[in-house]
Amino acid sequence: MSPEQTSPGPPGQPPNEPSEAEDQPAKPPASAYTPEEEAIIKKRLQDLGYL
Amino acid sequence: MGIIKRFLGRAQPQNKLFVLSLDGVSHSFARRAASQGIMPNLGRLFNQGVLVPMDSVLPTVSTVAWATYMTGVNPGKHGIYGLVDRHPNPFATLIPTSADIKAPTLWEILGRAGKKVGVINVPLTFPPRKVNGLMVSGFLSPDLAQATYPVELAPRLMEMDYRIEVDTGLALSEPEFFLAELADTMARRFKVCFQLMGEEPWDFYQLHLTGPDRLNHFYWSAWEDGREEAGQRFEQFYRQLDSYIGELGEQLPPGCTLVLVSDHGFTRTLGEVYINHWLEQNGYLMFGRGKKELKNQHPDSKAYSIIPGRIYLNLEGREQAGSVAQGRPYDELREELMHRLGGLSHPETGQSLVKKVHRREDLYTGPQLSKAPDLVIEPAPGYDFKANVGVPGLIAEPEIGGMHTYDDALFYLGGVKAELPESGLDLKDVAPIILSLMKIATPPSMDGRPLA
Repeated sequence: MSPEQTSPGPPGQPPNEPSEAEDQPAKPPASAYTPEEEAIIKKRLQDLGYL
Repeated sequence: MGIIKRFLGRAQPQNKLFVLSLDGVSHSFARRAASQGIMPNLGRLFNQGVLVPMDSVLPTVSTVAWATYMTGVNPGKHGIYGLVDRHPNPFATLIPTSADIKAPTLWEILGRAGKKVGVINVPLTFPPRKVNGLMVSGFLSPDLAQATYPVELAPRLMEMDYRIEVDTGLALSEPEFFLAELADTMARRFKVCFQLMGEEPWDFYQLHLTGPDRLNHFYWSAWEDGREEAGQRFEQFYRQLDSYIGELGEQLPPGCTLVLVSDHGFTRTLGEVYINHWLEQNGYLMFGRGKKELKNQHPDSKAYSIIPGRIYLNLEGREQAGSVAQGRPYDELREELMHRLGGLSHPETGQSLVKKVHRREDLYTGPQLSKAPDLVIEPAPGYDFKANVGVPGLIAEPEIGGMHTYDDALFYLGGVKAELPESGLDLKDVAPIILSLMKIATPPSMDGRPLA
């Protein structure tokens, strides 16, 4: 496994996650959809068995 | 990997290229349909070009697949891992869009090289990005008004009664209506495509058909079972598609290269596998008080799944319910889950449910690896991994009769002298191949391989 891969790391080494967690916003990213639009998309996904 | 056929066709390409992408049309089905006379135009194309099987991507869902196709990189670079993804802390599920693709797309690269493009209905193109030409977004667009670049194209498409997507909620309850809608929607896509192609000069065009995937999901098993009426309607759709393929051949300018590509194969669904049920029953997934849902996991919960077959460990510092320490505890738990999940079998038949369990770093590489699931289950053929919680058992009869396969996608090249590998081609290779056919250098960041 090459060093440049952002892998979880060998045993004992922390995955490359803490910086990700520190950089993560407090809230999830804003959706591209309004709530009504998201409901339309979710129904499509649900009908296809993806939700 | 051997070289099969060489197409000794016209040796003077006009450097125009058309992609007809056929969501869910497998290589084996296409060959069968061509040889059995269901799709004679397709058969003629196959005799005039090179057709090879191709592998998809894991997890094998359309948005991951088409993101891989359009960027020529693995999910560790483009960042799309499913139709639905999760924000780990605070936990939330979200629907990735084109804004979440972290690598340049084929049409962006072509546009920068001065090529004019037209792209219609490719999954994960909503919101439509600016292109050198036009774009009509696919089924993740909530409406047509927001689905086009330039935005002025939308009213024209409305006048032509173009449709984003059929209502698959009617597929089983109103089959006649659904099948008619499927055929009608496909007709309108071709009509719009032919109309727009003829209006402005172009160098690259892509028309994507989602109809085959929708049909296959709901009618694949009926067709395989030989159920008369459903089977006839299934074949009728493909006969209609074939007639448009014939018409496409007449519409394309002389010397235009034709590419046919699909994103995955298809197979009968044997059962739905509720992996979160297994995780809960085996003490890995725990819920807090109140509603049983993934955003309400107990602080001691160790792992959960997102559809299809993606496993996330509740890693400290990453996840909302981060109970698994980094380092050795993470590694040991992941290996334990790999071993146990790999041995999952049908409780009644003993049939293996899992082909392989992959560590993320064995599948993906790149700056988006941190978003990847810790493990990815590659299902045994026919077993569709779901993420439902609060279900009574591990396996249930499928509601939807057809599902995707990782292998058996198709890639076809016609109208140009070319050699294709007999095996080993996958979705990452298609964008580099297209770029090489259009005499554009493959970006070094692409993982796929251009034509030799």
